[in-house]
Amino acid sequence: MIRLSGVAKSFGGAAAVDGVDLEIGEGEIFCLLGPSGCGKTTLLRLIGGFEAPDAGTVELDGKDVTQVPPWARPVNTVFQSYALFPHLDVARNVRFGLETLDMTDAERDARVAEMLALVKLGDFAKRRPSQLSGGQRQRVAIARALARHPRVLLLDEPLSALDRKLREETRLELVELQARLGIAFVFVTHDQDEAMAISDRVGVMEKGKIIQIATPTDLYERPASKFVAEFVGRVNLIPRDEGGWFVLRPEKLSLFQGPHKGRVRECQYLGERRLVFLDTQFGTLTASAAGDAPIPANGAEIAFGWAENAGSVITR
Amino acid sequence: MSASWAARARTGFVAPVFLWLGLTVAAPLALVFAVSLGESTQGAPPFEWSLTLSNYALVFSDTLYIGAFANAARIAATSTAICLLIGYPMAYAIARAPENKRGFLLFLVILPFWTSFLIRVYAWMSLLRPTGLINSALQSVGLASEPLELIANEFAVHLGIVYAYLPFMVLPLYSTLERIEASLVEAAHDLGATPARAFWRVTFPLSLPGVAAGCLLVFIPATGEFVIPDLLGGPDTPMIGRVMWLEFFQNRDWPVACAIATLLAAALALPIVIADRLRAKAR
Repeated sequence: MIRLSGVAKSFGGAAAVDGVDLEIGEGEIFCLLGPSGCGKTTLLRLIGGFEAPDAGTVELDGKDVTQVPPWARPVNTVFQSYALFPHLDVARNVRFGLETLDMTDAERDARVAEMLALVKLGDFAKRRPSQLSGGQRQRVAIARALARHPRVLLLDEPLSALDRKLREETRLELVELQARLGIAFVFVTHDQDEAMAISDRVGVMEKGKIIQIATPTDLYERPASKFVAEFVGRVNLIPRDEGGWFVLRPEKLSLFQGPHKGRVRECQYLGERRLVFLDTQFGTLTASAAGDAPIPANGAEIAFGWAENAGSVITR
Repeated sequence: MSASWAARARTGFVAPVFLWLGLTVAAPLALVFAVSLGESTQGAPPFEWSLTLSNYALVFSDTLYIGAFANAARIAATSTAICLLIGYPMAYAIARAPENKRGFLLFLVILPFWTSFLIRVYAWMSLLRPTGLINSALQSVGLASEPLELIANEFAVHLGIVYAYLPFMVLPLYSTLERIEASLVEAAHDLGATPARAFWRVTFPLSLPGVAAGCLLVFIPATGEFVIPDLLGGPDTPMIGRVMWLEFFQNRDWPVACAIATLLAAALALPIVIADRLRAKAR
């Protein structure tokens, strides 16, 4: 569906995207995950056509679109700040992209109504964007982008402007929407929870490069590097004699049993989980126990350990 | 407590403004209106207080005055349109220029203000007159056999007004264009709009408040303009500002001059009110 080959882009000599190869399949939810400044937004803009690569090619549906301007690409974008047209009402925002398509006015009106129903905003057609809440604006942005029936929907941090509760609801709705439409969604986010929760595959970016592409499970269980291990979830990195680290997730560390001894530094109660911080020969390790598990006392010396297959090994 | 402090501070800051406006705008306007109801006499000052509308009747019945109003409005309108056509691309280019260059470009726009307005209009006289720089250059290279009529006509008045008021068009246009988020234009491109379509459907409608402000800032002073028609214009198309000046200083008919001034102020308040209504409606 989307194929990037050797794509590079730099701004004023600084490489934002540095030789990226990537393939995204039909109907896939793919997430570009990374800290700010890693080049993920630039990569999305390269797919959308808002930036032209210095090197490499962008293919959509088997066609080389590297030189095709954004208005002629079969992709649409949900912008980070939504970029709704403030001088047009909701219906006209959604209709904007239909005016250049070969349709009758009646077909356009029908499509607008269909899209507004899809995002449950049928009653808000005559409102201006300034009269909507953040969540409603985001829905308008999605309806507007989907109205042209794109093959791929690009979403630039689509949830970052929403508060936490709304964000989790919207995640669910986006996944349901994608399943109904069956088109590819390409997401950009710096929020690893979000990436894990909704993606089929995640590409982790650091300094303009994609350093790992994997399913959320693989990313968590078998990170490719220290950077990925630390960026995705909590982790204990235990140095190995042969070099590299053993990657041990906190819930894989068992308390009160095992060959090692550690002193309990602190316990944090988080409801469903309890985090236990242990001072050990490997440094401070974090264990995550069920919230109703026995509580070790602060300062107590307890045994701990892990199963041999509980983690993976990384070398960089 | 803090609210009352804020309110008191506000009164403290705003009161001098109102005092200033009262002394320099409201009081003189009231005086001008009062004189416009007076009667012209020989003497100093050359009028007597009265309550007659005969000066207004004269202004409305004499085609000289009506014509001068119409000329002024027409010339100001075409000059405003030309300013818009030149100023919009300028403002757009500055707003889209790299951020570190915008300051310098804006500086170039306001640079003419460093020289007195009057001197700049005189400079145009010396450029445009039959023995001026442009005509002697054209003749010396053989492009014209005799001097072109570049001055003492409407062309020169338009030129002078466009030249003098262009910055007042560019600056408000720039400030609205600069605030339009680049992502809106990108969204238009994303939705299938070519650059031309994105401009007319997104950028231009969003810049209309700047267009309105720029047009008011050019049209209003251009309508009452006196210096430019006096120095660059001809006798065929008198503008109301110049007619008013003649009434006042040459005919020494202060009441008629004041009636013209009152009517001009009232007429120019109209576009401001209309623009304000449109803005309130757009919100």
